[in-house]
Amino acid sequence: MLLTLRFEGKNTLMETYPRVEKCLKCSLCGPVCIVKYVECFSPTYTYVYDVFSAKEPIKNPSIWWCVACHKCQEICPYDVKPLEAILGLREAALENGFGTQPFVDLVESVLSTGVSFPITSFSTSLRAKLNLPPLEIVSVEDVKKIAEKTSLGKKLEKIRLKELEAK
Amino acid sequence: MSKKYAFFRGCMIPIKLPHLEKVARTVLPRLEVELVDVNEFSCCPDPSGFGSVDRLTWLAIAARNISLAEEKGLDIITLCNGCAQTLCQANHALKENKALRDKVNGILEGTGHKFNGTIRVNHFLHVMAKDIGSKEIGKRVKVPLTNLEVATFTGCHLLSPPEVMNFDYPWDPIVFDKLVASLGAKPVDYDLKATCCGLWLPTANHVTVIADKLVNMKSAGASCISVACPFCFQQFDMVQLLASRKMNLGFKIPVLNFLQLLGLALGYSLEDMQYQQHKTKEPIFENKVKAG
Repeated sequence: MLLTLRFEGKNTLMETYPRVEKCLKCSLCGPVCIVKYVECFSPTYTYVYDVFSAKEPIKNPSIWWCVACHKCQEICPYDVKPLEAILGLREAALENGFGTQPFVDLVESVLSTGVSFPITSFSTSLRAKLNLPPLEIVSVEDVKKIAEKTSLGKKLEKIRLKELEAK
Repeated sequence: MSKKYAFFRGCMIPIKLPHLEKVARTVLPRLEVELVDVNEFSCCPDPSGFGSVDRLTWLAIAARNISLAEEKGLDIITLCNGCAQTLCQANHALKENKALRDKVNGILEGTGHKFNGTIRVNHFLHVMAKDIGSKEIGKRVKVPLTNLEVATFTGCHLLSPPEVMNFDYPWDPIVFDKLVASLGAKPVDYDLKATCCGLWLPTANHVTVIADKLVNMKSAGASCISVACPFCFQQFDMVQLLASRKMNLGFKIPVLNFLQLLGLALGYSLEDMQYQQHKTKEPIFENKVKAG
């Protein structure tokens, strides 16, 4: 049921995450959320409220700021489970070709090298100096096989195409 | 008697902070924790980034990592809160949910691995607090750290969700404090102890997050901070320099991984514990350690 045109985005969100409807904007999640440090949020305009009230939830840049610390979920008196909605929105965003660069880079790094960060000459030389075994990543082929089965590569391709279109 | 664990190093420590791997390889065997290298491990992958954009791929990669330890009949030990949360969450979800387990094992077909749910995943603090215990650790102390007042920072991904991480109270963590006390040091309590270190925020914002916590730690009398996660370590060690400059804090609080503190209590020097690799150094703290 559509409540108002203004909250069309929230209606869409509630279809997938019915608990969102229980959010009474009590703002208890505000003080415990680390994203409150971003200037646009305040005790009366919390991060969770921003995520829930966006016109186009999956295009809202705020969804990418959450670090999944679980505090909003643990303090919420109405069991709204905001984190589930935020993480679900990110997954839906990627599915629809809206991923932010750091996230896309991270996923691409894991799929192409098996690790999250590039192995630099700094780490190689410091490891040698500390007499640590050299880094051998022998898992890439398995990781690629997994991503092929889950079609993650295709999702990343969609994002690349969107980027090209935007250019 | 020593216990063998599959050593899940993760990405952050071996690539960006290898000195912490050196410390782990030095200190853990002193408590009969034998680390078995598994070269086939990949990135965990991380729970908040990778895990949020494609849960199924994330679960399958995590399941593959767990299955490698299962094949060796070993429980896993990690040095990172992110790795611990991913592997604990995957282990928990796949043990509980048969349909999901079958689906993930279907994805793993072709890799030669299968998740069976036969092992336990541990952060190294799980091993310290639950497998070894504060009392036993206390018995091993050679140089009690009685001069040190320590602000512990457990980190959100080891605390939550508590039913999965099974470590401590997420709003008022005390387990890390007990471990620090077993080394003879004095744990100090401070406000904002249980909230996130702010890693993913824009630089301008995480400087403020760290500065707020540092001010509280300083007011509580902390002479050093102890962390259990490489990301928290980087926030408090490196970002502290930026925070100190930008917010004109006028003090520095060195940061040590718990294993470094443990090493000091076992009789290793600051240099043995790779303190020279840190960005935030404070002579008052160094003198307190040397005087101990």
